[in-house]
Amino acid sequence: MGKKRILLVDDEPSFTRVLKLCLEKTGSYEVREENRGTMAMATARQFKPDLILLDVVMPDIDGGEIASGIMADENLKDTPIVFLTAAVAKDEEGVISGHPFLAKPVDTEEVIKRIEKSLSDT
Amino acid sequence: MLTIMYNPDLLLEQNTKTLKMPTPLRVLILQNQPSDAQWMLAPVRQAGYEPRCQQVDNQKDYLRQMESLPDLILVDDGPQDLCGNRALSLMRQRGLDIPLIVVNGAKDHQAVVEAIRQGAADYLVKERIHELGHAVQRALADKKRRDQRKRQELEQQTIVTHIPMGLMMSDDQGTVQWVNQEMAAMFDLSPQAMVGKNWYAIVPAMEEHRKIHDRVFIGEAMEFFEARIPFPEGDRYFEVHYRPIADEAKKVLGMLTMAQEITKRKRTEAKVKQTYQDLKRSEKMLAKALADLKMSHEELKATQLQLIQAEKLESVGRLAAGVAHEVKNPLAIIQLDVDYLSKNLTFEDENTSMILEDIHHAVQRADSVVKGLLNFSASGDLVTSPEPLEAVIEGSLVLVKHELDRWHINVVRDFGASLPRVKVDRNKIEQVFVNVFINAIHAMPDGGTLTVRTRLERLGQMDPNLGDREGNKLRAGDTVVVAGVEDTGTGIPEDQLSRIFDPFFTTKPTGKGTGLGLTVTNKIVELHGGMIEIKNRNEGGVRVRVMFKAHKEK
Repeated sequence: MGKKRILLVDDEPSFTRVLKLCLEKTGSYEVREENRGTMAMATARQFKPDLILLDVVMPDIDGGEIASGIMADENLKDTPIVFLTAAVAKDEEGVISGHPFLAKPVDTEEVIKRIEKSLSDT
Repeated sequence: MLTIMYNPDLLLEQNTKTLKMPTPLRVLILQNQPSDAQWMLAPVRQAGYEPRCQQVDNQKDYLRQMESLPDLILVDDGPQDLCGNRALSLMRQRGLDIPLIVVNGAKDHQAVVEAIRQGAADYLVKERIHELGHAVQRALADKKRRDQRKRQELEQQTIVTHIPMGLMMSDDQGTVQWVNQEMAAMFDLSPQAMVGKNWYAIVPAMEEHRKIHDRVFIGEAMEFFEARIPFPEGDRYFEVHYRPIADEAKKVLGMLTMAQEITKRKRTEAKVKQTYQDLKRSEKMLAKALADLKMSHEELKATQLQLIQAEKLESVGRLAAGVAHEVKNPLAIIQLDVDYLSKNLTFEDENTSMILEDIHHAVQRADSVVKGLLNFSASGDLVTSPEPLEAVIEGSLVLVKHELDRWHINVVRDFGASLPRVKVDRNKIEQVFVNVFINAIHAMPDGGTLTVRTRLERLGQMDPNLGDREGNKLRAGDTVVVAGVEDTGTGIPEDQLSRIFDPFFTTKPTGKGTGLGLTVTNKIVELHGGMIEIKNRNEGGVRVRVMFKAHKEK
């Protein structure tokens, strides 16, 4: 079985860079970073990820809008989305617009656990 | 023109050292022979008088001359129809009192006695005429004394009549013996109508003073008694003084009553008293109004402080929500950085591992502070349903079980039987009890006992500084379910008790608490319309009471 393709959309390059390193280190994932929210759709269409990790609060466009766009896209609509956000206080996993989310800060194990769960659900 | 008469005999006789002018003396002489008058006047002159004489020898002239009021009348035997006694009686009939001396040739003792009895000033036989000077002096002196006495009597009579005071004399039986006009007028009577009557019969109200009267009759003077006497037009008031009337042997003969009406004064006094009382009452009302105003002011101040505090907390909440995102992002980066570095150390170095571990913990600490702030700002969204409070507490105990075991803390449950449920957001109230339990656990580092009770209570008078003042909050008389949490720990220093709900206030060492636990706890309880109380226990440790209004089951 090949590596799962993960698209990281977050306006913080330092965050996407280290998360990419952490995930790829496991050898199970191929990760693409996208730091411009407005480019998220285009990158997704081109990269065709197995899962998208999506920041919520970004300068030009928010994660919810991007999620709606993906859901509306014929080719992408089945791609699982996991929100990553600094805007909530909850420790446990929750749901934003029908998608699960992880509260920042988060460690690698949590992210992997969440990714695997979402991938196995689809 | 004045004639000074120098008379050495007179001076000798009077044994005076000053030169004296003779006193003019108008004398009416009644005699048969006018020529005889001069021989009588010599001793009168010697006595220091300068007589001017009118001689008459009949009744008609006598009466006419008497009208000019002579100083002295001398009757020398008198005409047959006008003897001394007759002359006296004629004078008296005219209401006059002129000294009258009878000079007579006969030594008639009967006549002497009769003349004196009739009121003659003196009676001289002619052979003792040289004594006439002294007799005149004596008669004039007597007359002067009589005049003085009359004058005094008149004065006294005037005083008694016109004094604005009721005067009355009565005997020991209360029989009125004398009464003045003023006193009689007080009872709308004439003095004549009162004399001889019984005083207690005239004024029955005076019976009350009988004992006082008895004391007067043993010789005591009694003063300033107030008498209230009913009259058809209303009560009248009198100030009464009593004096015994006693003879020289101090035998009490009667009682003098002196009375003055003081009704006007009494009414004025009553009015003044009433005015004073009104004033007092106004003063009291004013004082009360002032106190109320003061209290309102205090309450207003307290409310204002609460508002300021609430406003402060709101600001903290809003700020926290805004800042949280900006803080959490860098924390997320650091967290993953540390993660990555920990797993990809290219060399074995104990210090580096330790430092990375420290960074990891620091990130968690910072994160928990931010989380606390977010909890605080987000605690307003409640999803409530009626819950048994014991069940909520049990849920919280499960969450802190690990900590309880770790610090060897024994839990005692003392739940009241079949208590009503409380309408709460279960998750939020679990968080409340977790915070309370964590504080208790941190206060017992050497182990101890955590006691949790639930009870139904009726709220008594509430401390106005507790709780909120808005509509859905607890009031005196409300039925509440109270959860009491007691620890056997170190307690809270008394001077810090008032600050325990302030944000970022903590007694715990740096890193152990965020200083937000009780702030969030208090806010959540308040949002539920409940109340939280934290006090030190006399036995040591802290007692926390969390109370919610009992849910009325339908």
